Amino acid sequence: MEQQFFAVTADMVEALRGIGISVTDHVLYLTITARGAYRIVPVRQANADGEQNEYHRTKEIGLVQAVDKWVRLFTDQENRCYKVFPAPAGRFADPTWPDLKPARIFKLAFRDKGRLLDSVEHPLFKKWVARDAK
Amino acid sequence: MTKPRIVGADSDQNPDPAAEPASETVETQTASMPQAEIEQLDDEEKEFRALRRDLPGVKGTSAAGIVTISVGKKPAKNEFFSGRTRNSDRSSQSWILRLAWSNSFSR
Repeated sequence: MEQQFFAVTADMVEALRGIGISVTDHVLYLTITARGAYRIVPVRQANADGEQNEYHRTKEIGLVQAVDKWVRLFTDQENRCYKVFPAPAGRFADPTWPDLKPARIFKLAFRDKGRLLDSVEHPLFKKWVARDAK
Repeated sequence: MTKPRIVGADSDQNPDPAAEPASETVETQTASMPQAEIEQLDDEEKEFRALRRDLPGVKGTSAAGIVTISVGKKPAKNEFFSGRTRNSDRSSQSWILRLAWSNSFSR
């Protein structure tokens, strides 16, 4: 089972919907841990009715706060949301961001890992519609 | 790298190596080594080119100076992190992509 994000080109949205995969807009946040690991965290945006999952909404609050300071997210299971715990000021040095253009970051995170669904001939799409070789 | 020498053959021709002028030895080596090295490098280059498989659009992440950028639903568990959107902090524009999340497919 693949539990991961895939970037989708516009012409693949209908094809994916046809096999039960919904495609939605996500805002991407690039994060770096205090130990130097880079990760893109996509946040699903509100639907057409303006409704947004509380986990998604509070996660984005934490990610926005992380632009200014080091934070840690933790789950508040009682309230079904994330909460933000900021690190003490000066605890960590300023982050060192990679000198990469957005296109290169996208390439590293999605295209180079085969996570850009841009054709019905994509191996994963073929697998999902059982058109892959046994 | 020095040119291989057959000690026995040299010994026959020059019983006393110390008698051979040092300048002549150096001259012989400098004259012959670059050509041999060039030929050897050419062979190595040919072998390397025969082995490597260049794929279009693949340049390796090492060129970017970092190993990888992962994509996940949430930041690393129990780790402090710093974040940003787009290419610079406080940018009014965000990265927005159409993304699909697959967790319902299995073989």
